Amino acid sequence: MSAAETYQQAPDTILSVEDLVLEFPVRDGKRVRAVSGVSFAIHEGETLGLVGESGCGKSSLARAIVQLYRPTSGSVVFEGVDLTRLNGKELKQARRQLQMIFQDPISSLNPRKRVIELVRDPLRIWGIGSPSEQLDRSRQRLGEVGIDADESGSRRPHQFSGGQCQRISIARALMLEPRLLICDEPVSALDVSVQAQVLNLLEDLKRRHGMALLFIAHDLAVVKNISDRVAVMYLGRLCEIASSESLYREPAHPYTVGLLQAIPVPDPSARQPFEGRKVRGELPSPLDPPSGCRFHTRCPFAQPRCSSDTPELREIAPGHFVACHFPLTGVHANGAA
Amino acid sequence: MDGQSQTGGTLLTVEDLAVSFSTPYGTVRAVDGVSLQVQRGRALGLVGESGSGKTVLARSIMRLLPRRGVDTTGRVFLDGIDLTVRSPKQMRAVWGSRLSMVFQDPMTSLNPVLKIGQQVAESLRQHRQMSRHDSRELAIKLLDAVGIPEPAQILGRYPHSLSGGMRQRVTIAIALSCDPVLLMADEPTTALDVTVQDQILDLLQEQQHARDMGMVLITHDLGVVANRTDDIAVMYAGQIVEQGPTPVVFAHTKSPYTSALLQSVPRIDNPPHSRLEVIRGRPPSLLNPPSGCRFAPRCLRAQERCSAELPPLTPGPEPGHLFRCWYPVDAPSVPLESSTTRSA
Amino acid sequence: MVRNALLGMIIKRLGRLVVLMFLVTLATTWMLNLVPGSPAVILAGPSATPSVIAAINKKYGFNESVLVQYWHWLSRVFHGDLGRSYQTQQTVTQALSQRVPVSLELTIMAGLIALIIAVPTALYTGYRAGSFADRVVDGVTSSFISIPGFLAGILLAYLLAVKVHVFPAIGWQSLSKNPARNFRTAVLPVVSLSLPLIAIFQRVLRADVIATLQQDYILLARSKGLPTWKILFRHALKPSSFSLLTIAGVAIGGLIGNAVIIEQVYSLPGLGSLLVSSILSKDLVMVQAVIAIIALVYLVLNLLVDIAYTALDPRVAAQ
Ligand SMILES: Nc1ncnc2c1ncn2[C@@H]1O[C@H](COP(=O)(O)OP(=O)(O)OP(=O)(O)O)[C@@H](O)[C@H]1O
Ligand SMILES: Nc1ncnc2c1ncn2[C@@H]1O[C@H](COP(=O)(O)OP(=O)(O)OP(=O)(O)O)[C@@H](O)[C@H]1O
Ligand code: SF4
Ligand SMILES: [Mg+2]
Ligand SMILES: [Mg+2]
Repeated sequence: MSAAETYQQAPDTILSVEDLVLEFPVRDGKRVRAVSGVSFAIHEGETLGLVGESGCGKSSLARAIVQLYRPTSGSVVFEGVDLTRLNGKELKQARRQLQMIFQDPISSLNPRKRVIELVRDPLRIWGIGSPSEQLDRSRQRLGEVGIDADESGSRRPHQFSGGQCQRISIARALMLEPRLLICDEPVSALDVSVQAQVLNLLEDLKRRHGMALLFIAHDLAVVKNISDRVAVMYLGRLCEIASSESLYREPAHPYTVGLLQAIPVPDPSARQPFEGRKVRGELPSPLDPPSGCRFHTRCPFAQPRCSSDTPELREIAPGHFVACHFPLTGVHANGAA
Repeated sequence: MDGQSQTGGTLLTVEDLAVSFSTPYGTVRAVDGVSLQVQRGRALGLVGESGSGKTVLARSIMRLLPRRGVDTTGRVFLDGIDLTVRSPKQMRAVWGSRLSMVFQDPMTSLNPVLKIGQQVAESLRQHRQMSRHDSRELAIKLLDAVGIPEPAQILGRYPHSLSGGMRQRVTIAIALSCDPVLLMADEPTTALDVTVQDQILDLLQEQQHARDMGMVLITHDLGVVANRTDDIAVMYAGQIVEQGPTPVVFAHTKSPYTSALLQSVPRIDNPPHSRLEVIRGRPPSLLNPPSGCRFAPRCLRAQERCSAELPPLTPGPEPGHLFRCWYPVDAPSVPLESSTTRSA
Repeated sequence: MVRNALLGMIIKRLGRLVVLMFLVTLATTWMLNLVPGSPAVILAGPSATPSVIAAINKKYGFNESVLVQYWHWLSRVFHGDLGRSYQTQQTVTQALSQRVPVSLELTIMAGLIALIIAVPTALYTGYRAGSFADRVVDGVTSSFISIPGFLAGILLAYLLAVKVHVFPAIGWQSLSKNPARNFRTAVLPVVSLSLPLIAIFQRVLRADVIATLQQDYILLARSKGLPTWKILFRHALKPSSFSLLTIAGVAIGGLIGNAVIIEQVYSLPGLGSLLVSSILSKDLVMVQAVIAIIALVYLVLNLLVDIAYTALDPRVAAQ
């Protein structure tokens, strides 16, 4: 198969994921489907947020996109090239435009390297510019994320706080001017005050460099704040994709409603959500996912059909997709709305 | 029990509590002159960012800190009894029976090699001298009360076979088993998913009301305490910077720190791409805290006086409201001026 | 379900044990053939004629291939006949029935005593790490480790037997014949054997106890108001004992064949000295049997350790 083979993509689509499946072998010859038939697209310069509870497959999906885990089936078309068909060398080339940052900022940086070197590495590996140009650009990039290269460029990662390390990872990921940046829970390990700094920084840089963002988090409020569109994931499948505003104003999937209800609002005068919409119980084991709609075991609206038929993702309003047999259309589900 | 005196409705009184650790790098003053009260049947929310001293405060109130290398001063009264002068043996009679604790991570706070039943019944047998049979019966009732399905069957299981939420329910059942008068919950939901967090917070609130128990709910999330506590205390770098009835603190925020914290939380009703208020820099090292107001280096309202003199806890116009600031925020809606994203 | 899993594990491990026993005995036969010097020559004596040697070779099958020799041995074993010593003409079964009980008794007693002393000591010193008591125990155990067991044995024998006559210095009385006297003859060798074990067990367990005591569940146990001893024995011991179990399996198993020096010091009729003398005299049948017994003890101990793991850690059982 040829790497040069190109794929038909809508003109402004930068990444399209089609029916992606990722399985991991587990003991006794069983396999766990961490990602189970996921399809979505990201447009140029857009931020797509991905939310879901722990273990629903967010990281697995991100890693399958950048081919850190090779998908079991499905395609990942990035700038017209199906990454799943590339060999190692071709992949390396393609990944220049596709960078990823991780949740744990400190352990994702090599502890033995100086910060300026960490940031410069991508340029050196790709042989871009002369050494002095590389250093200049690294300094500039560090400045952009709020780290003074003259003062602290020669320090090592462990001498920085979590928030600063996350800034360094961001600077590093931006060195090659990627067109898509995948952020896997970049702020989950940070304190609220520092989290706000990193979120604002990501917004600024995105605007300045015009890149697209896949922003993963388990906090719907954080995701909504930064994203144009939001995808909600549950047990390896997507439940709902919509623009941030309509997802919040007209959530259609009962799981999305449940997530919205559960967000603790820092305002004692906020109205209490109605009881009936609360999600019961906990995430079932991905080893043995429920039949039909995977959410039916916890869904307050489940009907008999939900446990037998798998709902497909379908468009219920322009740009608003939901995978539910009984979507909550027209209901102002959010108590605070 | 000696002297069951009751000071009105006050259950817990902490007076000028200070804790320092001696470390190879110097003395870490993790808790610095904290005074607070918890009323019978009320919940106090203790809020602060990571490292602000919440856990150390809770453990020093319970006297669960290691003795070595730790220096604690100040007084703690539970129901009028001074816990700070009690011997370890006397404390054992208080722990579990009158004062109990729920920890942050339910994955590590249950013993992996003991059956759930044994871990729940243990306190009952210790404090109530119950027989094996009676303690088992009561354990089933307790697990049922905290919302565990098929409690009798769960008794024979080991923690690893339960989900995080179920384990946290078990630790809550353990904490409640001997009807404590005060429950300290140290970030009981931080390790859980939002939907499960909501369930556990509901459970804690419901049990606290039903038992008319005092509760200290520790969290870093202002949202968690907003609807579920009667009073809150906000901690910064080992000190309380603002405290008072929850609605008052939220509606008439005085401390610039509390205010900035509130505004840096992404709200679900914000429009997308709205800018968050940020607090520049990061929390100070407790090895060498800044002089004067500890928040001064990061505070947008700070003036000369702030870095010279530590502001005292000052009463606000509303009863019970205290704040530590020389130049307090006046109205709730005064926004802090937007700051850069550069770190200090 | 857990019980079934345990049963399945035991059956599987028993199967493996049988296979390993075949392999060990086969390997022994093969290796004994590699040892230089003909057993027939040693049997017949230096002045024997070649025809005598040939006859001996034929009688015992020394010239056969390893596999054939092994096959002969095996078929005899299955008929309950372990053979007859070339050297003493005593049946191997008889020799073993005298020696095995002695070694087993020494091993089991030394292992038990070591555990009984090491476990509480380790729990206490782990709990009070860095205290005066901890440092004293540390000094004592390092001397137990650095002084070879036989030296301690000689020292003990000299002090308690030769000087004070509390215990007999040498000799052995079997348990079945005279339990009281058996006890008196066993004390000194058992103590000498157990000293290094005590030290190793105490150190391994103490380190793990210190780590366990940092865990949240210990704090939770304290916050229940449990007395210290309950926290140590009920909450801290089990999760801390995995390394101890592994080490104890190997160390106690080692005693069965490695107690040669102690057996020499106290003139005890154990397996160790039997093994050495049979090797020296190329008494192949005897060597084969002794090694088989030692291997069996090792494997059974290993099985017990694995069962103990499962009993200790429910997560192992669930796998
Ligand atoms: N390398 C792996 N081998 C086996 N199973 C795995 C592996 N990585 C992930 N899984 C399983 O796949 C499922 C999804 O995991 P994943 O890490 O993608 O979830 P997540 O949504 O990122 O969760 P979190 O919020 O905790 O990061 C889980 O059940 C997990 O146990
Ligand atoms: N045993 C100890 N020795 C030295 N310093 C300690 C010790 N325990 C805590 N500290 C320090 O005391 C300070 C307060 O810690 P504490 O655990 O109470 O914070 P916290 O508010 O509970 O934070 P988190 O939200 O992360 O749990 C920290 O700076 C910490 O480094
Ligand atoms: S005292 Fe000064 S520095 Fe401290 S919070 Fe108030 S204004 Fe800010
Ligand atoms: Mg993840
Ligand atoms: Mg804490």
